[in-house]
Parts: sequence; structure tokens; C-alpha cells
Amino acid sequence: MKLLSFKQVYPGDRLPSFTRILICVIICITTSMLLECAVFQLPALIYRYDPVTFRASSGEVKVRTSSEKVPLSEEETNSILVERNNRKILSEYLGTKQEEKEDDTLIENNDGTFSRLIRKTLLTVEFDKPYYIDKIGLRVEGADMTGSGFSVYAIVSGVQKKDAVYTSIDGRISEAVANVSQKADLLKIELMSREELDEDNIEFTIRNDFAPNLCRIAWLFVFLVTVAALFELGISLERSPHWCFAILCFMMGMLIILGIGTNQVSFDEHVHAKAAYKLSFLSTIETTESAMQMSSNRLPLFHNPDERRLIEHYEQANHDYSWADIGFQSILPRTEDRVYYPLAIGFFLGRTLQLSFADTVMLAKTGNLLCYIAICFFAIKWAKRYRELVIMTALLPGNLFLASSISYDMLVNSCLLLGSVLMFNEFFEEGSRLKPVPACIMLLSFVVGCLSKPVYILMVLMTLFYGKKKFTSLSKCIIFKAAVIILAGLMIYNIFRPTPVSGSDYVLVSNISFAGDKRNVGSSVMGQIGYIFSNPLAYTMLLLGQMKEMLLGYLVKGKGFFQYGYTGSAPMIVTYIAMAAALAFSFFGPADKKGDVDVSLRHKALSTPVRILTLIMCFGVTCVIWTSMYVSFTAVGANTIRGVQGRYFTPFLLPMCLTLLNDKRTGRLSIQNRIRTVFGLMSFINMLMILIFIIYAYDV
Amino acid sequence: MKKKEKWSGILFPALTLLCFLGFMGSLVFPNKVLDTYEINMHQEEGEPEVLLPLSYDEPIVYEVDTGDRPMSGVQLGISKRGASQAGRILSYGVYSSGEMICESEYDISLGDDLQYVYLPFQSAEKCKGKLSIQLTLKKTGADGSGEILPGLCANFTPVENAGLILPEDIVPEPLITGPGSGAKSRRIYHLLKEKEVQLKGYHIYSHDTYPFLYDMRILTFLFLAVSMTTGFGGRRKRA
Repeated sequence: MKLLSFKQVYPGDRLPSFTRILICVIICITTSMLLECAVFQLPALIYRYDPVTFRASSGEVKVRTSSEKVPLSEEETNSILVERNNRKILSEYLGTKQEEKEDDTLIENNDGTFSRLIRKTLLTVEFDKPYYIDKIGLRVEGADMTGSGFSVYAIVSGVQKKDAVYTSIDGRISEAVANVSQKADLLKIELMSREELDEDNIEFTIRNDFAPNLCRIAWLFVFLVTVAALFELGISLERSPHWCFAILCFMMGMLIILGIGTNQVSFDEHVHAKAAYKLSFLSTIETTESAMQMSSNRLPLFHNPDERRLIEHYEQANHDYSWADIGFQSILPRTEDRVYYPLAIGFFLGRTLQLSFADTVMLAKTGNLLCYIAICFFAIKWAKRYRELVIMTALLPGNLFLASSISYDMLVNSCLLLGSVLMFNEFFEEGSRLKPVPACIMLLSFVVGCLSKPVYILMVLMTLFYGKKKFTSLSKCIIFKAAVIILAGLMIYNIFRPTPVSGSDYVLVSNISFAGDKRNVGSSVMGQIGYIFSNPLAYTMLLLGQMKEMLLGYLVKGKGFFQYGYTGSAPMIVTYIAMAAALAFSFFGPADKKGDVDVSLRHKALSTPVRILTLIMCFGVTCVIWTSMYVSFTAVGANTIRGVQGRYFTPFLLPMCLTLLNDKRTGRLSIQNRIRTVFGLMSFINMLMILIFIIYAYDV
Repeated sequence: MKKKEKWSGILFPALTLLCFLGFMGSLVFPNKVLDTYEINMHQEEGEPEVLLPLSYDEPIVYEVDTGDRPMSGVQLGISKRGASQAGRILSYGVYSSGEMICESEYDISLGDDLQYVYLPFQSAEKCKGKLSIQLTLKKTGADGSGEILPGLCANFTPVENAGLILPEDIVPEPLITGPGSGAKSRRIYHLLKEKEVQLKGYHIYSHDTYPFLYDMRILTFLFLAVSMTTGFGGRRKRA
């Protein structure tokens, strides 16, 4: 399938000229910068002053101290219990005595809950006149500030107009910056720490600098360019939506990458980061302190550009290969680890180019994003009749976020999307023969997409229902289907009996009795399988109940489906709008009043047996996914199934929508406007989420 | 037949065959790797490490039960006790049910004063089940090291599926001598009455890995399926 240029395919159509595009881009850049300076930096222009620093021991600041017992959250408690259980398992395996970590501030209550003893230091300073305080930077020297934080109360004429602003302090930096953005003539800072602090070592600075925010400027630029493109690009949207997708996805993905930086806010990011980082080396692994913190989910978190500078400086200071930890691995990676190649290439390039740690991490994420764009590019290009649905799936906030993070889910989502497109294209053209190249790409997409999550390979079993007309002979039809069954069977078999690839694999893969996700206490694969077989009816009721619970959660109970990792999820109204659009694009074909819509772009219905099989496939694989999490991630015999997330079912959205396609109903929108609508809708949702959950959470 | 289809008809069956050969090759010619298992390298706090002097006359017999797995060797701590040990060789023979399976030697004068040395077994595939490893000293040429005999590192930590038979004239000594050696010796004497001495070290096993097996078998069936969509080997349908 040779990629032809636009002018070769459609010589008569006109693209916006280069000059027009350049003028548009310049206008967008200029407008973004002007908006940033004139609107968001206005307080800095009006209330100008040099930064003012106070020391707690100076006479200007009043200091008062106290102590308090604070109960830990369920998550913190679970984390302590999991760590204790893992230390117990490790000591049993090594035959050593279990050592309990000492933490003087941790109190175990009689009812089994935990509390922590917190020391509070209240700093009060009164100004001679009200200051507009944009940011407060607080620094404590010579103390362990682990688990510390401070709240800022800005008071004007005795009235506190807004809620207190809270910021945590990372013990490794011992410094934090809070965004206050309020006027105050009286300032109270409540500093919470685990140990008593020396007043001489506490200082804070109030500032209101003119500092244009690059992330916000970038966001404004992308927003304006997207709006301009939706209006300017008429015929291009219809003829080359895959190119439009590539550019838009790249811009939004880069916003996410640049905005998040080294903050670890994606699902299990540290697990993926560790595997990708190791894969970027051949046999000798050099793990710097920063890489080690990244692998153990302990990188400091920033909340504004000032903290970001401090933290990136800290990370770079600890990214020294001269004192890195040296480890060894086989140069032959395990099958499941190969999915990290897009990330590993980024880590490798960052190291080779001697980039900073933060830039290396962002380069790794960029590798992931580019790979995602490349695969989805072809999925959209080859979808033809239902490109809007494929664009919508590719630009789902969860998918875009995972593509811009350190995660292998990018490969799962994109490859399964491409594989599904090619598989269902054959069902739409039941009379035409299955060609070798699409068949090869389809099967390869499923295999690569299922390398890390083999349960999804069951989707490829839909090809068993290709008719005889797809093949030149009956024997070839039978052999094809037998080969597909064996292929899927081998991938499933590898879950239970993985093939040892290198020496270090052997202990890991040879003993299934040790299997079970150690992030959860009490999990055991063999134990859980035994429980299911002993109680099939009870398990079936549990499974169906949990599935119903999750579906209702996303549909009516306010659980957001569109998530950007741990940063947040979009409100329900957004989910409803997107669902309505997907259903409308599925149910209604493009407007065709003049009858000039190309045959290859008109909606076509799947046959009824294929629709039923698709729904059975979606339901069946869903059940298998739930069961796999019950077996590997949930304590034996538990009455809930833990660890299942809505994003696991994203690969089924397209097949479900395709069952609604029909050739009887047409809508009012032309193909061009349909694609414009879907790009506009998904861009709007993603840009809004980027602004709220990323820019305003971490970069302002 | 179009050129593209013609090439597909050759390429994909060829790839299938290639992957099948790779599949068979991976299965028939696996990669052998060594695994090191730490058996006894720690002792309880307060318990001493000891040295078992080797002897020319009576062997120290180390008994292990490997189960079904063939053992490739052991890694034991050998101390030269400050002497050069020139002309001295550690001879070790592996026995099963009284019959010798293999015998090898290690020149003690090599290496550091205290080193955990890998002692490989020549016929490793036969070394499984209940084994007795007999360790004795041998001389080669003139023995210039005097009365200081090398020793094996040991402690009093119980080890599953392993045991030690010491000749009567071998008395465990403190591993580290110096101030307090007398007290250590008395402690060892008391411990000998309560506990058994165990050699410190590692067991080495080998196993097969199949680096390309998973890929080759998946790709074999993938390309086989794709080959069935080509015109290869079939009659062309008339239009």
C-alpha cells in the first residue's frame, strides 16, 4: 500500500497555500503571547515589586508551635500493609528475620488503623500595606521534611476571602512554592512536619514576577491553530483526515508531555519506566539515582514552574552515571518487554545525546506518541466508511494520555484499533477475497498489540467467521482458520507457561505458585483458579454483578470514563456528549442529497450474524478480562474483583459502534462536516482536559 | 496472475518455512545458562563463621539432594589462611549411591586468600538426586606451605537437603583469628554439641532457555495463515 501525496491523488483540489498557512501560524503565535502577557500577567504588570524574603527567626515573623495526631487515609494504610506483607514474603524466601522499619511518628491504633504525629508551626507576618502575592516560596534547611506541607492564609483587612492554599514539601528538596494569587496585608503560613523545626532554618519569599508561562502560551497556540484549521481545512479534512489527525494528535500529545514533565501521574508508570529504562541498555544497565527513583515511583512532584525548576535541577544532580548502580541483563528481552521499544529508543537517544534527565524522560514519551500516531494514521486511512469512529477512538482522552505517557497501553490500543479496522473491513466486503498484505498487517497488529495483554488475542477469533469466498479454495480457508486458532492458543498458553528467554527468567517463569500480583495482599493465581472451579455459580454471579456495577458507574453514577491518569477525569456531561456523537455517527450515514458520495465512503451494514458474533466477542473477552484480574490481582475468595479499569474495554468501542452501522439512514451532515465535527469535539474535550488537569495543575 | 500477487505467493510461504525452521532450531538447540542459588551465606547474629581445614588423608564429604535437577557445580568458600598454598590441589569427586560420577581438581594457589570458587562438575547431566561430594587435598611436587592447610568456610546455619560428614580429626576453627579467638573457639566447641556444621556457598544448576522459540512459533502460524490468502498452490478462480 504505497503512500501517495495529496496532489497525486486529487490533482484538482486545492490546499491552503503555504503563505496562508504561515500567516495563520504567525497570527496564532502572536495572539497567544499577547493573551498571556496582557491577561494572565496583568497583576505582575500592575502590582510590581521585588521579591521579599522573611526568616522565621526575624522579629517581623511571629512563630507558634503545636502537635496533632492525624489519621492516615485508606490508601496510605493499604500501602503500609502491602509493604509489610512484601517484607514478610521476602524474608521468608531469603530465610532471614523480618526487620520492622522504625518510624517514630507512625502510631498503630487499637482498632488496627494508623495515625501520624504531626508538628505544626504557625508563622504570621503583617505588612505595612497590602501586597499582591502571586507565589510564596518556603524553604527549610537542616531538617527532614518528608511528608511535610504548608498552608497559606491570605488576609486583607481582617477578612480571608479565599480558601487556604496547601502545598506539600518534598523532603529531598526541602523547598516548595505555593500559588497564592491573592492580595494580603496579613499572611499566615501553617507549616506541618514530622519533626520539630528550628526557627533559624525557616525562610519564605513572597513574589509577583512577570513570568510568561510557556506551557500556557503553547496551549493557547494549539487551541488557536486547531480552531483555524477546522475552518480553513475544508477538502483536506475529507480527503486526508489521517494527516489532520497526525498533526493534531502530535500537538496535543506534546502539550501533555511538556506539561506533565517528570511528574508520575499515569497508571503504574514506574513499572513501565523501569522496564523501558532497562531495555534501553544492552547487557550492562547503569541506573542513576534519578532513574532509581523513577523506577520506584518516588520522583518529586511539582505543581508550578518554580517547583519544576527546583525538581529538575535535583533530578539532574542525581542523574550522574559516574556513581550509577550497575546491573546486568540478557541482551535478549522477554516477549512482554518488547512492547517498550518505542520508550526505550527515547531513553537511549536521550542518553546518547547527553540530554538532561527531564528531557530524556520527555523524549521517551515522545517516542511512544510518535509510534501511536503512526499506527493510528493507517487505521484512519484504511477505515474509509467509518473514519469518524476511528478518529474518535484514536483521540479518546484516555488513549491520547496513555500515548503521551510511559505506558505500553499505547501499543495495545493502537494495534488493536488497526487490527479491528482491517478485520471488520473484510466483513463489510464479504464478497471480496482476503488479500495477503492486509491479512498480514491485521494479524501482526493483533499479535503485537497482545504481546503484553494476551487475553485480547481472542478478538482475532472473529476471523474464523470469514466466508469461503474470502479464499481461493476450501482447504486454504480451513488451514487459515486452523492457523489462527493455534496462533491465539499459543499466545494464551504463554500466559500460564511462558517460555524462558534468558537465565534470569527461569525462577520467575517456572514456579506458578509464586504468581500473583504483589501489589495486592493475598493474591495467588493457583489459589484463585481453584476457588473459581470450586464455586462456579458464586463466581458467575460475582462477575456479572461487578460488570453491571461498572457499567452503571460510567453511565449513570457519575464515574468519569475520560481520564487523564491520576490527574482527573472529565465530568459525565462530556461522556454523554461523546457517546451521543458516536451513536449518531454510527447510526446515521453521511448526507447524500445529490447522490455523489463515493461508494467506498457510504455506510454499509454488517450482516446480522456478524453483528451478533461481534457482540458475543465483546462480551466474552470482557468476561475473560474481568476473570484474569480476579485470578491475578484479587485476594483469594474475595467478593469483589479488584484492579479492573474502564480503559481496558476501549478496544471494544469501535466493534460495538460498527454493529450499529446501516445503509438505510443518512444524516444531515456531509462527510466533510462529519469529520470536522468529530475533530472539533475531540479537540475541545482534550484541550479542556489538558488545560484543567495539566496546565492549571502543574504549570501555573 | 498479477506481479504483486505472484510475489506474495512466493514471499509468505517462504517466510512460513523460514520461521518453521527457526521454530524447530530453537527447540532442538536451546541455549544453556547457569543459575546460582544461594544455599547458605548468612548466619544468625552472634554465631561465628568457621573454617574446616582440608586434609590429605580423610575427605570432607558434602551431601546434597538435588531432586530431579542435574547439578552443574558448587561454589564454596576456600581460605588460603595467609599462605601461598603452592603445590596444593583441591580434589573433588561426585558420587551417587557409592559410585563415582566424575572427579575434578582445583589449584588452591590461584585466586585470593578467601574466595568463593566455582567447582564445576564434568558430567553435570548425571549429577542429580542424592550426591556425595568428597573434598580432599592433593600435593603436586614440593609442598612449600608448611603446616598451614587451606580450609573451607562453614557455619552453624541449618540447610535443607544438605549435610556434612567431617572426619574425626578435623576440628572447626574460627574463620577470623586474632583478639578474642579463644572465646570464639569455646563458642564453636559449645555449638558443635548442639548444632551441625554446614558448608557456606552456592549450588549451581543449569537450564535451557529458548530465546526465539516464542517468536518463531507465533510467526510460523501467522505467515501460514497469510500464505493461505495468496494464490500460492491453488487454482485461479475464473472471473
